[in-house]
Amino acid sequence: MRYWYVIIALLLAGCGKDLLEPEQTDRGLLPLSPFVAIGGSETAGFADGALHLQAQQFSYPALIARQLQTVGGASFAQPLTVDSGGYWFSNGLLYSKLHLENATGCNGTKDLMPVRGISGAGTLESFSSVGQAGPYGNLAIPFVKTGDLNAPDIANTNSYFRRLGSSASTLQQTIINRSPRLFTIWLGMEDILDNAINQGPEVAPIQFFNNLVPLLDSLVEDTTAAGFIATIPDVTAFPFFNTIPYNGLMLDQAQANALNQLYSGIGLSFQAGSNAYVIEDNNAPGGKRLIKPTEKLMLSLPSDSLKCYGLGASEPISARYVLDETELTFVRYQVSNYNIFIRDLATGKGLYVVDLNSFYASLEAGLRINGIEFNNQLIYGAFFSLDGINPSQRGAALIANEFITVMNEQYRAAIPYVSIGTVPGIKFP
Amino acid sequence: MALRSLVFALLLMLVSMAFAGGFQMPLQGVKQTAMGGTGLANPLDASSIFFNPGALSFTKTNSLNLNALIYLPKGQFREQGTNQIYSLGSGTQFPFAAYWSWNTNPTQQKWKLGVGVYTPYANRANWDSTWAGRYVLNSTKLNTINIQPTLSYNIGNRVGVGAGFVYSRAMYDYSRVLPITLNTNNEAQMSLSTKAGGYGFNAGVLVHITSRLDIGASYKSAIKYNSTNGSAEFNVPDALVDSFPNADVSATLQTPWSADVGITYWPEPKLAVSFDVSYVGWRALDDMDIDFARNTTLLSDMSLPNKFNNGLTFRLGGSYDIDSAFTIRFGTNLDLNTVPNGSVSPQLPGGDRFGITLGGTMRSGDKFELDVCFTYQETVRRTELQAENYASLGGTYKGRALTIGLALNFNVGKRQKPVPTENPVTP
Repeated sequence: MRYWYVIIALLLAGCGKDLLEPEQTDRGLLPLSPFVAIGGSETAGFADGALHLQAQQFSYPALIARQLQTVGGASFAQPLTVDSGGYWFSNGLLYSKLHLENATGCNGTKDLMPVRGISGAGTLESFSSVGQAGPYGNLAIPFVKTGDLNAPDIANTNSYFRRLGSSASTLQQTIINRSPRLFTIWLGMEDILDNAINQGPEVAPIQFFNNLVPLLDSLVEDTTAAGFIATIPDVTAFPFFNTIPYNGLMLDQAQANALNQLYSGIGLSFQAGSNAYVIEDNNAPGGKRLIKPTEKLMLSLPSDSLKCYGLGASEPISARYVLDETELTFVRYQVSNYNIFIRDLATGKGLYVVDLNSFYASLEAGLRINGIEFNNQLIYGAFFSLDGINPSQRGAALIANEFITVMNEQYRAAIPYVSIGTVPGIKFP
Repeated sequence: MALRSLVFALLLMLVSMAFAGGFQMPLQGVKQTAMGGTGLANPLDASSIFFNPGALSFTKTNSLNLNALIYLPKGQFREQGTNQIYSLGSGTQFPFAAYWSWNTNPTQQKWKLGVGVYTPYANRANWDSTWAGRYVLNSTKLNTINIQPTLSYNIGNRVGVGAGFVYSRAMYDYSRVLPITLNTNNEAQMSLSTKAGGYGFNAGVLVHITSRLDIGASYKSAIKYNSTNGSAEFNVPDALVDSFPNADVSATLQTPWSADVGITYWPEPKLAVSFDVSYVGWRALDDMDIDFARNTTLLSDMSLPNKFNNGLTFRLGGSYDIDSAFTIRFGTNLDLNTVPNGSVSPQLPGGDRFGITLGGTMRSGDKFELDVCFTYQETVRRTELQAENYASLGGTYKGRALTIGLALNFNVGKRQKPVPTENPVTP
């Protein structure tokens, strides 16, 4: 009867063990450190309209570094902020990040919308230099444009850079001083957005190219370094430009009649129901016209003025809140030409392209991962943070996975991907 | 001796209960379970009411047969590409089956009345609220209970035919996490709960070919349940309470038909060998539609896919009478995967399943029997690609299950011998 014990012993052994074992991970031929991430807001961990701790902790470079650590990567330092409401400087004032609130608008209805926290939630002192905690792996600077790479006065113009307390006077030198053997670059989007949103200077594609060349030349001096450069998405598909509908002007018959009378001189007509907003256009008769269905309104438009104070109706919407057809064509031209140069640079300097342009394009149709639906919608689309431009933390995780895909493909590595469910989602009140 | 070792072995197994896991098999009789799940062409006891109503008329006792089992599944999931491994929480189930058979003369083999109460379909997938697939499914629980009055009629001690009407109750709970985070860092959750009744039948025939050979066939109908008074509960952020109203839901549940054939051969009077094949109509199941009484922009009706191939199960089992008081039972089975690629769900990931079974019976005269069974089932790894999966959940599943069962039989009449020796029919 002794064989019973053998069977039982085997069964017990079988039952006590885990059913599945982790898959083999491998760095392949990829050099792991020093790892430096170069980029703008979305790379720095700027989300929900501010630089804030959670967005930094789950920035895509931090997530890539976390995954690299499973194959022997080093720890990755970021210039973290303290856990507060976040930091955004505008016109010399400090604001905290956007959060969702079921806010009562001027018209008395409750709407779930991103709301800026009380300004001054942090102080300028709490945003002082963090240079002693460096050197940093994440050297992305919110709002940094390619022209800033070698700008000698960047410490004066960009408080996020000043905060790093770099001993080098330029951002480019700060990066080169780290002697990265692994680097990611996602630059150029800020150049385009600054022009589109803030009427900043136009940076011609060739200028963009020329801005990047010296940095890349230095980075690839170490021929063993591995570099990854990302393409720029079509920013006009971002929720920042697509959340306020062109025809959101809701009128009753009396309001329509009043506007018809007001604009009778230039022949604008309105009816009860939904109407296109009135916008400023210097080329239109009377300097005003209705916005076209293809044109876009920016999320920065004051929503109370739209709802209650006649903005977009008796008061035309200022052109700076509008991307008209000409501007849209220009922005898309910039994006596609920057991307041509990005591919040129990759080929010329021996970098690998991470095609975030096509990844973002796939969001348009919607992307389902583990039962989460990602798309271009603000709030419910899960990919974008509440500012409608920068990715949410889960969005950053998807971007990190795009980089890891290319790293795995090009360097015969088996770096595990970020599990989306381990990354926090957008909070609802 | 053998029995004592077996009991010891079963006690040992109890120690490892906490680690157990797996999916599902017919567990409607402890004797049959111990014999690989065979029993279609072997009139073992009153549990033939379930296995083959036609075999019931060959039993020679009026019996009360009470079966209680513990089913201990274990499962793991490795998320595609991320190396994250998640384990199923406790999914312990307690299948049971009770049968009662009666004739004015217990040993008479002309006809027999019976009634069975049993739990034919059950499933529990108890993933935790932080696992990778929580937005597809967090936990699910299906329980069914059938009550089946049955009449079995015997023609010339050679052919038994029987049929039973089945009334069934099904209870189904389903919960999933919604990808909406509350300010508390918890996530929103949807829980559905439905129950409903349904009707069907179970019919079978047993043919006594020779004194050493029986063949049998049975058909168990599909059962459809329409639940109109289910409930949906949402735990969502305050701002979204109006978008996810707690309300009634209606849902349709189904269980598949099963067409089975089996053969039992007695090479010698003490030894029985059975082979059964079961063909299960999973393919005919419709998707499970869940209709919320109130829809909103964020809440539309759901359809949980039921995309299966028909199932094929092979069961091989035997029994050996050590003496008049002890019988040992043994068996094995192979349950072929029914879930096509793309339809793998964390509720029932599918995959070929292999089982070995052991057990025995201890008797005290003709009046009382005690059965035990133990089964071990292993489901092969099942890898589903995220790009193909209906719910965009990619990864590898692996399951394992232990079952322990105990049955009591109280008999009036003469116990059926494994080999009917009187008046053997020669073809």
